[in-house]
Amino acid sequence: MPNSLHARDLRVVVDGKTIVRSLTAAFKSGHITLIVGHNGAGKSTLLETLAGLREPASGVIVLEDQPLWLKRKLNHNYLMQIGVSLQQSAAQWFLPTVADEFRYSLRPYRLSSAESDARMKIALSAVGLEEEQFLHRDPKTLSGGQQRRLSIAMLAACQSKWLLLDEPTAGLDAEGTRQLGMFLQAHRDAGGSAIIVAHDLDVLLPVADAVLVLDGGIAVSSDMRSAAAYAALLAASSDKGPLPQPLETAVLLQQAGFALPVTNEAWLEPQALAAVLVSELQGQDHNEDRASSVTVSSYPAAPQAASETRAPTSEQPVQQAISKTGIISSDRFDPRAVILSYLLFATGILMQQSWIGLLIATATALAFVWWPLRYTITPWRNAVMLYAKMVLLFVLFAGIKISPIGYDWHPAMETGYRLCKLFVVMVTGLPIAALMTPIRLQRAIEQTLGWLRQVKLPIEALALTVALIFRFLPMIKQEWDRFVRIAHARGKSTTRPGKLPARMLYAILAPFMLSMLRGADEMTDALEARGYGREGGSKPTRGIVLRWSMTDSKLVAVFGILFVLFYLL
Amino acid sequence: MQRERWRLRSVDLFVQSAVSHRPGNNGGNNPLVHTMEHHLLHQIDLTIKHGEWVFLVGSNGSGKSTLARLLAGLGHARVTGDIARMEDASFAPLVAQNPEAALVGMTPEEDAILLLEQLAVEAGEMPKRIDAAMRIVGLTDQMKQPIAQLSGGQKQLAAIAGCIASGADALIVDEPTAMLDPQASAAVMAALRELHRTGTTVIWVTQRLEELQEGDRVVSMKDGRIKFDGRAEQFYSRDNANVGSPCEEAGLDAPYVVHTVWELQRSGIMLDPPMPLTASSLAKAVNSYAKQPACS
Repeated sequence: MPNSLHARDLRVVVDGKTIVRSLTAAFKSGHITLIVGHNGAGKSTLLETLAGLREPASGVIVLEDQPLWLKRKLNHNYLMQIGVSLQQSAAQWFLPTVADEFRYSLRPYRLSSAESDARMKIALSAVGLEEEQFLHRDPKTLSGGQQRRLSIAMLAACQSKWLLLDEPTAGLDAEGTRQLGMFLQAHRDAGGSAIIVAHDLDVLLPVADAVLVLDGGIAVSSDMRSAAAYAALLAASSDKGPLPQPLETAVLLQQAGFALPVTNEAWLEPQALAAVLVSELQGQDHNEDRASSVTVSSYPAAPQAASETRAPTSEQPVQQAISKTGIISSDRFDPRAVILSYLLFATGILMQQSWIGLLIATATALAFVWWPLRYTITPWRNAVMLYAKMVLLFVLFAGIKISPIGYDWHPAMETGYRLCKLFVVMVTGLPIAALMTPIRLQRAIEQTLGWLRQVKLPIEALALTVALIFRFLPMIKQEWDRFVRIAHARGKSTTRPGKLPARMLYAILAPFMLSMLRGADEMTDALEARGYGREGGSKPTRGIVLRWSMTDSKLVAVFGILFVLFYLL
Repeated sequence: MQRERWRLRSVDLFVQSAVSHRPGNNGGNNPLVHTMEHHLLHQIDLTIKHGEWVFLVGSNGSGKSTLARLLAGLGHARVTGDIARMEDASFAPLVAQNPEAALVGMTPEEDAILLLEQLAVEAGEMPKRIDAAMRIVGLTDQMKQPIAQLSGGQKQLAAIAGCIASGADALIVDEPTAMLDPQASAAVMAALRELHRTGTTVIWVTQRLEELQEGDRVVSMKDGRIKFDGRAEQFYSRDNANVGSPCEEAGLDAPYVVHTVWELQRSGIMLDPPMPLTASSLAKAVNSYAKQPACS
């Protein structure tokens, strides 16, 4: 289809999980299209993939006649037509002044400096920031609201034909929201298009032309709906969930017997709604049975479609997923039992002297550990494969003889045997982390090695630190990935996502460090606000105390028996 | 006679911050850094009773979060004026926008236990308190699930649950729904309304005026001053066509229903009750207006 941004059979995998599956959609040029769905429905992932910030596992993305991907590189012509703003893009600033930030964003467009300056001024005034006051300010010192306006201005200055925005209304106040709405309308009037991930329908549905509903990474409706049709669908949905207030109002007024006109807008503006109500209230015979006018419903009821729009609440899939895969909760076993069992098993494997023994041990590991706990091993799939390949390589090299040149199978088999034993031991150890939380592990150490207190080792003081570090580590990785994506989007780099050219590294290092500091600050603040550190002086109590249970004894017994079997092999 | 949980009289708040002047702009040669005192809150008079529900509203930079933090007893600002707290008041925990930053444990239960451990709550009491807190926020089924698998709304509820379990008699939430979708927002609102029914004082800081209901107390702020303190209905009432409502004066955008009511008023239709705030009460009011025997 010409004049559209087209995705066909798109599948996107993030960290081993399929987030977007077999998605086909055509975003029309000159339209503002919303992507809606619950938290976790894959909206942001889809948008980032359309922006070239994530590499799809399969599928095709084409803008007009330009494919997004040329072999393993991004298509420069595609990137030059899009402008991207990600969630919390406002934290991306890394240059000393607002003007420098503009120049960085405009650099890929190769404009004359006069043209750049002109665009900066127009863009700033479009979002209500006076040029002379702001152009030389340090963007990091602007207030949160001003920073968000600045990121809209940044998009406006690039004058991209296609805008890809993720939750642009988040954190905007009334004035900022009004400006965003005006900016989007002006953009469309000038022939521009936009794809917007949104859950704030109150603001964005009235300016939208089309809606794509996502649930579980699948487009729920086979084709896109107009904004008005989507509003009608939402209103007709029987599923109880909060509707945008204008829609809820329309639905309840109709139930009360007021006939509202059909328009091609998502809903009536307050003025228009009031006008309709005024004419009904003043012009109608009030003795008439109002209920009879319900038949003049403006919203075509769409019962069969209704069930598909209102996706199940985001909580449900989580629960289903858990009952299906049988995840073992992290407080099921005493960490000491887990570690003891693992030591028994690992020793048993290492004791094996023959391929037969190793084969039996591997089969046992598969049956007792790998298969039942496979959900804990799959995240490590890449590392496991890498190790397996390395083993193969070592085995091949081990057999090479130099003088005379030839190949000897004996040393190759010997090396292979040793490395395979280690391989089995290592893979079997992977689930340990998932079977205990850092705090329970800390308690295991505290309770077992309590005598260390005598040698003045502050075991107890470690509790909170251990928990905090483990909470913070994943945040660091997420934050880094986010900054790499933002830098990619602004710099229009054609390298693969995640691989940042060295020249762009400086664009993220400073804001990343700043963001980490802010994150740590926010965390300290949030913890203090919840009460940590309030009761100064009193010694913390212990709510988590490990107690050896029957389950733990059974676990150790099973692995003890396996150990004896291995010994006898 | 309800007791006063907080009473603030003529409170001003100042914070120090570093200001740097770039060379070149003003002709100076050396980058100059000095500290400057910002006057963030002006003459705050506010009384909040034990067991009350208060919405603290205002646009970005109005000082609403600063006031919320002051009430929670956080920060290191210079404060003048008189602040009195109820004598036997517990501390008032504050939960902010981003639940990721506030959770330490790997499951909601573990997080609550860690908080109670730090507060030196007896271990024997913990399960009872945590179970009750999880019931109020509706997380009983999820309390042993990894936090990474919870939705944003559930994470927010987990953070709130820990505060409830700590036995606080008041809770301050600062834009708790800003990062949540409508379903999750509704769940957080419902949980806190339930907590309020059990007697806890709740202060809810927000920009989303759709969250207000009839009868709620609204305190609106602008430029560090309290501009309005009263019922939500009055917050939107326009005395005449020329004078804006307190809501408009605070620079906030009224919800759709309120705009509609204003338009009706402009056309001479006065509903009863005069200012419905939710879709359902608007529909009800319009319907009963229509059923009136005579209306000119």
